[in-house]
Amino acid sequence: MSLEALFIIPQEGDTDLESIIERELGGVAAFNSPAQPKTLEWAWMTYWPESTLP
Amino acid sequence: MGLTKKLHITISHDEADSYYRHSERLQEYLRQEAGTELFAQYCFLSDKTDAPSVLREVEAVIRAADPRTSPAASIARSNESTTEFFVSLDLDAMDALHFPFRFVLDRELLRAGEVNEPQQFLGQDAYETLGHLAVKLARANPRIVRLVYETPGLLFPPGDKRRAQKDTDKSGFDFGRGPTALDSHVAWLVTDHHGYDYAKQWTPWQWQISHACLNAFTHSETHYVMDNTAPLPPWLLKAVDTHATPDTDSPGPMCFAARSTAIDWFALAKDHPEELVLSQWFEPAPTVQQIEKALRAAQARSAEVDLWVMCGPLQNLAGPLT
Repeated sequence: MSLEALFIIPQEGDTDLESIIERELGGVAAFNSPAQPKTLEWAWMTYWPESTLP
Repeated sequence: MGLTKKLHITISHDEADSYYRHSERLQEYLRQEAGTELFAQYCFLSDKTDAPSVLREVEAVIRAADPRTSPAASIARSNESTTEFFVSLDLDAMDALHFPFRFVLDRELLRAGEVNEPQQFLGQDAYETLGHLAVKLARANPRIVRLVYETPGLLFPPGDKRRAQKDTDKSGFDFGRGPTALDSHVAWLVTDHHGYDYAKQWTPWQWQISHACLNAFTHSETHYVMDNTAPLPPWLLKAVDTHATPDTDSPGPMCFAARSTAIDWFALAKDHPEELVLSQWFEPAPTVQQIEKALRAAQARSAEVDLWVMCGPLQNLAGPLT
């Protein structure tokens, strides 16, 4: 089982969650497309890059 | 409401073989949907396509449609004074963006009272999705329609149009070069695109398991179901229930993909340590333990959380094929 991506939509107004998640993930930044600015209204997503099998 | 939707699609990808796979399937779908309101204009760019004239032609077509639209753009555009939308899809970003796209759309449709429960109707692939958008969202309000078109997130697994054939002869399997239905599947999935040696990274057993799982899927109007012919442990079949989908987008043998935290994979892995191993493939990436902690932290703060997983056949995951 390969864990591919984690998607999180914070509760409205929860501005602390992002830093909590990044800390729990050991400093791995949340992935966001440069074309889609990160806002808390959108699904906040951590997606590990180079998502191909070895 | 009678919205007239005009969808301009630019697709770019830096991998020519994937681009051909996607273009073939997209064209097939668009032909089928020609009678809908959806008008799609599509073109393809590839770093590995040595055809500057084609690229110039593509650019000319796009610019003729709208001078402000750049074929290199990967962000959706919409002209808010009309109901005409310009969408640029970047295949490299699609996999990453598809899920939030569906997730947010479901939420917005629920809030708007357009639906009573989370929908699966967006389709298992971009082609189904485009068709559903054209037909079902015609009744949705403009805000939702704009939300859809402003989100360049579509995914390209094959849906159920590429159901694997039943294989009656496994003796001649040769990783995509042999005569069997399994060969046909493996050739389509990887060998034709990545080569014979690439396909041989995995064992015949792994390919057989993944092929049998693919054959075990049936699709109802709203979701996929994997029946008990899938060579997976009964507890795993029960756990995934209606949450699994065929995974033939990954370039390797896969049993299924799942995108729901209705399944607690971390708990299942602890309950079945001999049969289910959680891993992640990438570097740099968080550890499994870190991912679980992040997920639990988000859940503790009442966030909406989902985890996307792929299941592949490893030793001891499934019994021998019968």
